[in-house]
Amino acid sequence: MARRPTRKRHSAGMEDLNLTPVMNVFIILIPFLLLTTVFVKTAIINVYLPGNTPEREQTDRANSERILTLHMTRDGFSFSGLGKEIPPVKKDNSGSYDFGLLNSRVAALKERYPKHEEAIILFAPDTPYELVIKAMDATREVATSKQGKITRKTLFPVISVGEHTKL
Amino acid sequence: MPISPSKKHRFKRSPTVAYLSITSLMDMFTIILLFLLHGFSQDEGAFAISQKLTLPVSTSIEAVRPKLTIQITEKELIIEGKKVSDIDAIANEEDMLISPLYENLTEYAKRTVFIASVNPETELNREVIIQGDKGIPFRLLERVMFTCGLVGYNNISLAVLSREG
Repeated sequence: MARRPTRKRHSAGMEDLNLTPVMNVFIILIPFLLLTTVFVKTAIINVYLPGNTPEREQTDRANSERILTLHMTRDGFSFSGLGKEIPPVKKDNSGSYDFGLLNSRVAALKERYPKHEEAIILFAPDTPYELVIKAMDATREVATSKQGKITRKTLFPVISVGEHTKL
Repeated sequence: MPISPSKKHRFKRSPTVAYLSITSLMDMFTIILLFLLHGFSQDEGAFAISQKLTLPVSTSIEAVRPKLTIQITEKELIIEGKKVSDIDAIANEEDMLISPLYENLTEYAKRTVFIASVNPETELNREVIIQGDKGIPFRLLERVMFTCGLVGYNNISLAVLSREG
């Protein structure tokens, strides 16, 4: 007499899916993808050469008094043009540039002139590229975090760079 | 007197067969795989960062588009992977123009014009990305930008590492 298969044996048969080959494929794929994935994100900053700013800014160019001009000197930052009323930002006590204070001063200026977007930054010839980028960042946008959420506000995104004569 | 285990208990223990349950491991691997594939597909626009230079860190999040690439390392000036000049040879020149860079860029510009004339669908773009080492002086960067501007490459982007926040 044939015996009816028990419930237990039946369920054991259902679990018999062989996942080992799939696992093998995964184990090969994951190291390959880990090797090729780039975890460092790259980005770009647009720089404008004089005479190549977007159309809407062309009118501003005629009057340099209406453009924020930032001088990065050995002592810190000084302003002219649109920002001539801003007091200079001196280096901090440790002797390094105070980009945080610069950022907040430029942000305050942007609130007074919300329609202006152009800025000129003048550097000394021997300024390291890293500081050039930091000064541009401080002029370009301000990031504020509220309750863990970071909001960015654009300040003066159309930046022209130049070299200043020794001050 | 020791208590012998009950019959029922003994029966339960004997048929135990250990199965390796890899289903949860599979789930984990599937998630990792999807995450990595997602990251892989996002990187298409990114450029290869040369080992010879360290890019400065910036808060910019603007995405990279493929353009003509100029690399300024501490020792060499490179266009599209081809060495143009040693930095030592041009560093002390008074002139703003960097002649080897000018000649090479003119060649690239001619090529772009030729391609655009043969294939009207190609957009004639005069865009360039500068990948500079974070230690190079501003003067050198300015001279490279000046030379680019003379050739007609007016849309200049500076490559940076993005640090969000």
